[in-house]
Amino acid sequence: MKTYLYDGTFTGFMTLIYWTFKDKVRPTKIFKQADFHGDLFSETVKIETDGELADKVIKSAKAKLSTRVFRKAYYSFLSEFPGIELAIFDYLYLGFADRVNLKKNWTDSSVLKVKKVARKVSRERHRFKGLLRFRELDQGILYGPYKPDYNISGLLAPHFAARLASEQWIIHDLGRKMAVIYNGKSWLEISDDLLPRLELSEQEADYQEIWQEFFRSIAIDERYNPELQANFIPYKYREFLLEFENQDRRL
Amino acid sequence: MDTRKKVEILAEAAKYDVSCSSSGSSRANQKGGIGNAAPSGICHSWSSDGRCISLLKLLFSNDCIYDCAYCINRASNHKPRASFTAEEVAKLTINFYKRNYIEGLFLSSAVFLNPDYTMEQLVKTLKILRNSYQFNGYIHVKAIPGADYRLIRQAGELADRMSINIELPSRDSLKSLAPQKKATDILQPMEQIGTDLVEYKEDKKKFKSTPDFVPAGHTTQLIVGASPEKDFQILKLSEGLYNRFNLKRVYYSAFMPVTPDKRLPAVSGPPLLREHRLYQADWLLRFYNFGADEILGPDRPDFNLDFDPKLDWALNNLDKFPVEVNQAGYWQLLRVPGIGPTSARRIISARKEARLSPDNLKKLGPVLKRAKYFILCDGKYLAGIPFDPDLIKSRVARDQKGKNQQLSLFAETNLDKEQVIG
Repeated sequence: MKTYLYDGTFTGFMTLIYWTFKDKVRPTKIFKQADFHGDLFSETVKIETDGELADKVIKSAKAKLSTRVFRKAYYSFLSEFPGIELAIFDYLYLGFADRVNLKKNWTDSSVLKVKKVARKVSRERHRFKGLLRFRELDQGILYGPYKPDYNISGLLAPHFAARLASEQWIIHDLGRKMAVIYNGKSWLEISDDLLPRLELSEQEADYQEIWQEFFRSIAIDERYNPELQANFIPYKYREFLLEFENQDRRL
Repeated sequence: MDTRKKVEILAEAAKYDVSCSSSGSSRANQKGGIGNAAPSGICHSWSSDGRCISLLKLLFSNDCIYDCAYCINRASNHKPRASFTAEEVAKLTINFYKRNYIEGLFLSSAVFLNPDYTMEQLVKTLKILRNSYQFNGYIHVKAIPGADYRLIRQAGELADRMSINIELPSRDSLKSLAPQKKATDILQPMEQIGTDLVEYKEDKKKFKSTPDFVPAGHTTQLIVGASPEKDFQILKLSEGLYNRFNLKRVYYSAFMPVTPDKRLPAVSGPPLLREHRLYQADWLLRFYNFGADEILGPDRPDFNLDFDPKLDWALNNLDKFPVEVNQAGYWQLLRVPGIGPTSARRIISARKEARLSPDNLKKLGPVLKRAKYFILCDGKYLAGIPFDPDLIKSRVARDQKGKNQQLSLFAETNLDKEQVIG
């Protein structure tokens, strides 16, 4: 009975993978240090996060298992689901030690779990490529607040860095109290108490109104179908969408 | 008139154009520029009719010289009229794009003054966007029937996608409902765009400087139910368009009367289920390797409204079933109701590792509730009944009961499955 603790970062988790693979032990449980409240029966091992060791694991996973297989592990980690670490451990172990072709395996339960969860994260990422809304601040900075289910800000950043390359923008995850900021050249993740004061630009209200007008005008009344609309855009996503302001919000 | 008022009039006037797809192009951003195009397409919102919004869909002008019976913008209709300027549209597009409201611009127009002038305005707008603003996002532009083809070609070099709407699925209907439009004015540029698509691609292989020409392909739209054509005739037309004109997509729009006209049929509401069936069948043409003649025929000219076209086909071809999932080829698997491209690919990849048992098959994601009547898995027939055509038909009918009622309420729309198109 061995319980492994790590600092909650992906680098920490990859360090954990390094040591457990090297020592050939399968953890009974894996916890983020902050979530662990101790138990009497198991031996605990604390993992010291080490960037170099983590890089080794990442590089060899990409080389030996393929980037796609590695990406599934990374994406599913970002789900932050309790217990996902153990499934990722088994997934990687099957690939490394047992040389199972993870791309073609659709039967092992941990492989299935990792794939399924990675898909959820990937879907949410795709969704927010469209659903994230920026507001223009007084210095021309674009500000996009949202509350994603999964920790996807770092996955969205490259998309917007390519697209809005010459702009400055902020993606603000209000649930996790963190933000990605982009200065026109590169982006980084910060804690949200470091964000500057936010004030909208003068023309912002006009464009919001024109967008709302567009949204109303483009709908065909004879095809009114709020259930279908809700299938595509569940109520939980509407909080930050300007076009849904002042509309019925149902539970 | 301020921009907001113009948007109200000219978005409202553009809403009957179904296409909103933003997929199929992978235009990269350039240094100092704004925007790129994602090959998978991205939806940004869904309007209250459940249709996806991915592009800023506008008419440049709704001040039309034509008087087509089915069209809300017809000259004899008493509607407020407005026109944008090219700069106005470009600026609005950039500002919407920056805020991530949209994936790009869909620019159409009524024919004002004459076709050439109209097309010139569209080209001008695209030039401002691409050159002055260095906009590299998605642009869908209409080719105006009757305009000089050189203008259309210019637009094609600037846009990602172009379309010309046929609207009425036969020459006779065009003559009766849109007498000022000539069928050749529509079909000739379509054919030319289809040819140019191929030629530009060939040239590009030899000369790197050759510009892209409508890299996301060209499309059209047909109105369903305004004229007497049968489903079979419409589907044959679509098949012909795909094969002969190199079309990327045909969109279907259920007819609803927007202006009273005695040449038009009286309908209580748009034929949404029929439209839905056409989209399903269209999907079978493009991704499932079906021919129009397999789906419908002169003896069965209309869709079965109870079953989707693929299920309907399978029930009429039970002699081709059941197929063994451990052996059947990709295209054979695709013909099984309940198995789509994703699960077909998974089945083929998974069975290379190990022979599929019913238990494993389930995990690969096919809809077994439907597929079970048509497959064997490791020699076993999973339906729990003998393989008997009559029995299967009655079971399938029972399974589907209540589903169509639900369909007509919830599932109609332009099924723009962005991610599926790829």
